[in-house]
Amino acid sequence: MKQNKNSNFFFFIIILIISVGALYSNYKNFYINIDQVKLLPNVLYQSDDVKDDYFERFSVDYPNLTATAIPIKSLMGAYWIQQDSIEKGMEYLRLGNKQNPFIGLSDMILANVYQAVGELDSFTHYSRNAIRKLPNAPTHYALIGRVYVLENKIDSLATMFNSISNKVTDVEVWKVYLSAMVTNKYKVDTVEVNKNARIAKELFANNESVELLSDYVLYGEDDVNESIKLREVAIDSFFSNSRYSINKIEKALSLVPDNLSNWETLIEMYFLNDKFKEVIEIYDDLNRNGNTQLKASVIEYIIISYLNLQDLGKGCYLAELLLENNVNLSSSVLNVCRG
Amino acid sequence: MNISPKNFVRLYLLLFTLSIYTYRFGEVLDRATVQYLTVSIVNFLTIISIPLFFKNLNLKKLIKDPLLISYSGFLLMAILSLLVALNKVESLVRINQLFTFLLSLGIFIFFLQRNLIQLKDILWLSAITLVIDMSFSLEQYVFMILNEIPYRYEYITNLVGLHGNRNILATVILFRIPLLIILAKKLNKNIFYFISFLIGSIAFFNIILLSSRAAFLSIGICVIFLALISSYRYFYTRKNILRQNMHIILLFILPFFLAFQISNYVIDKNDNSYFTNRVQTIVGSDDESKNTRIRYYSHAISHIVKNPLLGGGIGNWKIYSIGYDSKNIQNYIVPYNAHNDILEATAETGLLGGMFFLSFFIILFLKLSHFFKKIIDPDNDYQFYSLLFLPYIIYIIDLNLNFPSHRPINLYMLLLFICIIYLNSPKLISETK
Repeated sequence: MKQNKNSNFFFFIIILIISVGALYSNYKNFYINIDQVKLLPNVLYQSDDVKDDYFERFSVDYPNLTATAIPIKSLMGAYWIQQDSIEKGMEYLRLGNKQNPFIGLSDMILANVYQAVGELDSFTHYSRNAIRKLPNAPTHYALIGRVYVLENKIDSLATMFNSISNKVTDVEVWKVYLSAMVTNKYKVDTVEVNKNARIAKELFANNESVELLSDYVLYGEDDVNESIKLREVAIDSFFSNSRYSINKIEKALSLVPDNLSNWETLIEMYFLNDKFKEVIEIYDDLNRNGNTQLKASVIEYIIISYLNLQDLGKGCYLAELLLENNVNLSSSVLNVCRG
Repeated sequence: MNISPKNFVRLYLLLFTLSIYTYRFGEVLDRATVQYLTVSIVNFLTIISIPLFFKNLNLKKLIKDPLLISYSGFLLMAILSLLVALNKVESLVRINQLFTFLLSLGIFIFFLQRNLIQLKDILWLSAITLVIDMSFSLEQYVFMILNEIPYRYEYITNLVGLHGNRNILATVILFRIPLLIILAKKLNKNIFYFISFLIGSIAFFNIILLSSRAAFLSIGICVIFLALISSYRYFYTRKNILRQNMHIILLFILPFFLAFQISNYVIDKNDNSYFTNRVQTIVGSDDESKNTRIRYYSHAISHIVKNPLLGGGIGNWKIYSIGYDSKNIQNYIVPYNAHNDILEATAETGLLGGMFFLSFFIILFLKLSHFFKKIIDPDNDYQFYSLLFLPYIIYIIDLNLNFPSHRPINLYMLLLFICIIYLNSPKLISETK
């Protein structure tokens, strides 16, 4: 009986110890879960709503991974590097790599740091580590792309681009590829590079930097820069000398023929000069070449031009398309097309 | 104030339920971390209070329980897997979560062995929490109706209510529908049958809105099981099959068809959330979610083959899975779970650990299998025993497609279910005496 009592007491103490241990562990897990909510915005968006001493006291040891298996030490490393505590940040990053050696976040940040300080061997080493761990992460491709450019291995960059762009549609991947191809397109399959540049323009139609890089690839930096200058001159001089202005924008278009912004400007200039026939001619040309992603305001110029040329059918058809897409049209167009 | 042991147990059940339905505490990323904390607080308070209410603890009897033995075996293998774990801290975090469940299971069985848990209490808890879950989920749907917004697949995340995702919610709703019918049968009044019909219909409608294919699959398999079991019964008793299944038809099958008809009316048939469209993707071969799961399973099996003894370390699958799935990962969004708890447990703790984990559910099935005899006995309430199998089927399907072992809400449901099984098997309780 006494032995039974003793064993009960023994089991009870063990159960009690386990329950205290579980409670403490779950408390730590809960606490760090809340801390992550404060850490992530500071790292990702560099918001500084929390003071440094908060991060000094931040628990990084138990648990040591976030809710998405990212090492907390890697995030802390990124935070301290942003705060210019490079040594401290790098130490955290190296420790983070040990806690989850498969994710490569630390490698990615370390590679960026080493590139910034000009230690190219280390930059290459960590970039290769990152891409080996997660070969389809766009940020890792951006790193290895820079390594390939550095090593002049443009064909490797192109091969990797073809592989990753089929799986991931990420603007950074395309930017790295296009930037590299601006000066290197003749070292690889130029036809393919030009084709990719055109695809990029379609895929990221509203991204100015992608459009600029694609134009650089297709028409060369000098012509594109000259075309930009001509456009600026054309816009500045339009109200003082519209003929001169139109001439400049046409020159810009002869240098970079598929710059939609310049075509739109030319349509606007002809429209403001009441040259409706020319407006329609440009629109027909654009349609033939498949450039149909015009701004709503420019389409309205085309509609009014059609109406002025007494082609109510085409003008009102375009007006209906805009109305279906909830675009407000001027009352003059509505009066003609909807009676 | 004197609290009787029975009321002490009721208080425990209430606190345990509240700890699952606890406040979110601000901006916590994963609700499960709050639930694990509150459950462990309730466990600790209960354990230190037990000696005040029970003079003779007789813990030897407790540790002879087969469910506790199998789960302890799994935990032992989990602890041993620390030796090979890549990230030992994450292993310790997970081990303590496993301990939290083991302690809860131990407390439940301790009370069950003393006949202090009432079947009706468990059924009422199940029914009340079902209504709470549905209310928080459908609140957003009502908002859409009032604002004349047609329901679409993109709005599903608005309906997750108190839970992390739609699969969890759909499964826990479905899990409690059979228990709701059992409660109505226990209360045996027309008004409760009607309420059960009403709640059941809304619950099925809620599940259809959530578009969880695991839940749809579970419904299908439950219906097949009920058809087989009623044929089995008919073979032995030759009693009218419709009359024998009256409650199942009126409170399970009919509410489902009613919910299905209503969903056909309120969901556009071209939308992904349309029931038929969703079910078609279960059998389709080009579904991304299905193919992803198959890929995860093959990764887990490869890992088991390479590490049969102690696996990769408990709580470490989320790390290893990145290595296996690296070519498919973009932007650091990692697989995290194997979406099959049996494979994940085996990958983390080795073959023996996996067998202990699996044995827990086999023991539960063996306990359930005693009811097969009762099903063919003409004097027994056949529908009651048939319905008892459904939560088990639903849980096992979820166990094979998702990760209920990581979610306190699923573990809470499992504990309620274990109570119901034990309470209907007095012989099983006395076996451990």
